[in-house]
Amino acid sequence: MAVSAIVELRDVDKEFTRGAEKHHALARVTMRLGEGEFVFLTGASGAGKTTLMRMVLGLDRPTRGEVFALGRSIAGLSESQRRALRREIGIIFQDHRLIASLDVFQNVELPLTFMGLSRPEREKRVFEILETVQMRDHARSPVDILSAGERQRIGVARALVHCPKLLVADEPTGNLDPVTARQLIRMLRELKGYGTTVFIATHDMGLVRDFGGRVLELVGGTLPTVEAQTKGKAYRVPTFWNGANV
Amino acid sequence: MNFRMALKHLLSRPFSTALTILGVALGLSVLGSFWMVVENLERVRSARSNRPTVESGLTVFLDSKLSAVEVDGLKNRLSADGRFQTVTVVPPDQALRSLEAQFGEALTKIFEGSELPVTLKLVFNGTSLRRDEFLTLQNQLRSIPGVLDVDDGTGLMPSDQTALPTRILSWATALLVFVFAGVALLVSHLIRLAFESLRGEIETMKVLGASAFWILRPLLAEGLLLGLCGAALAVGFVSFGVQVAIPKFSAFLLPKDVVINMLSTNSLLQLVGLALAASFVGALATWPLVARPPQVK
Ligand SMILES: Nc1ncnc2c1ncn2[C@@H]1O[C@H](COP(=O)(O)OP(=O)(O)OP(=O)(O)O)[C@@H](O)[C@H]1O
Ligand SMILES: [Mg+2]
Repeated sequence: MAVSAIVELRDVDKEFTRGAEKHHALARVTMRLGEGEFVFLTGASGAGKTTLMRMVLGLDRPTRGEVFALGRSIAGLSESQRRALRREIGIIFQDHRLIASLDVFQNVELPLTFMGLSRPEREKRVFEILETVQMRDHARSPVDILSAGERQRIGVARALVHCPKLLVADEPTGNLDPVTARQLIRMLRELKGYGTTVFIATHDMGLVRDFGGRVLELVGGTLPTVEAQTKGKAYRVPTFWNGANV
Repeated sequence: MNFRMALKHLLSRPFSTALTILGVALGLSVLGSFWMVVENLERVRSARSNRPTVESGLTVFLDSKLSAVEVDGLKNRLSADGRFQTVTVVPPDQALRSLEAQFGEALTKIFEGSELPVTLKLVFNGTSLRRDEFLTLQNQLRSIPGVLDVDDGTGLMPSDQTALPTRILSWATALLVFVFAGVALLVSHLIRLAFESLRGEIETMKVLGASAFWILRPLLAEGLLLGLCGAALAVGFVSFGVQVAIPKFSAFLLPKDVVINMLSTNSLLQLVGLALAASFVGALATWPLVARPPQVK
């Protein structure tokens, strides 16, 4: 399939220096995510998943190689351009990172505020997405009274409210029970139909097995070659999922 | 960032906030009081240095084309003004004679034959005028049709008597710079505390794409609010001093005829402007913190 790359890494190395010794977190990583792809990034703890995702978001610079996101080369962007890039990406954190000084509505509203949308437009979209994650009744609640699952739903609403072309989620189910975790991933899986590229890092292989999609497995900071990525690594798509095609 | 977050921060640290406002107010009060003294000195000095001029009166030179009736009309018009005790018409030949008496015959020879203007001699009725009032009066007289010029003889006064000593002005400037820096430092310290206490949230907002300016805006507002409160308190302090404290002690501190006036509105506005500018600069010092890349793990 000939799709334009939403995310592309070319020969990316990342070294961290700890005192005198050097640690290779990523080594010669090359990968490509197309439009509307649903991709899991797996690997053991310390394999480099978070490091790779930070690179895509422009939060870290590669030691060698090139990173492209939404068609832009990260290396050439200034700090304010990187922030502008992240405004176009939906980001979900493991610990949701909601702003405690703001209520549920204001948290979800943030990406729209950054985009400069008018107040009525923001209200319309925020209530709609809160409806989708079944949190409309909590719009005016402070975030610290919510349960972990509810907070994560707010985090998802915040990441999707501005219809991003790319969704990046680092261990979004880390703090959730298996049932809530599956609900969450099912919802993200549905975005495929809207052309949004979904990139999820997780080490929960159960989830990966149940939901299928393309899987990239990091082992000690390396990915299999691009040919191997596109061949056999895909998991079975569950039958309950309608319209899934991988 | 949201303005309510900044306000919440100020209210969550009532002690630091109050202390900062008090510090700003004290600095501004010292500066304001000093400036008030300068302003009053200036007023008293100019009132005193004008006295000889006022006492010597004014000479108004009239257009020689004016008829005797028109001259008389002008004389009556000026006599009606309460500030003048007497208005006398001095014909040219009489003026020439008084010049002769003053400067001798050699000088007055120059004027002989040429047409000397009719003059009016104005004598004030004893009240002393402020310098600015005196100058305004002269300009009013000059704008009357038929008046060629007005002479008050100030050209004969030594100039160092009319200007404030430059030493006082340089002290005032030094104090101003000192207070500006102090206010900026106090405000920037509190704004930095605000940044630190909201740090986790601010860094997350950077990750989500908040621009540096968007984060800074409420911090600037917080700084300006501090400056404004400090300035208001300082105005309160100074006017309290003028209305309550000075009258209590003036009996044995100051000569009876010296009245201390409150700072002029203009100077008060300048003081508030200084406070706002300094706190703006203080708040702006957080710029590097909001502009640098997000510090998140
Ligand atoms: N700032 C850093 N300084 C030094 N070493 C780092 C830094 N960030 C990451 N590392 C190292 O890089 C390696 C990869 O870390 P990373 O966080 O990407 O792993 P991960 O796959 O996300 O693990 P987990 O599943 O536990 O989240 C680890 O060995 C980690 O210790
Ligand atoms: Mg990680």
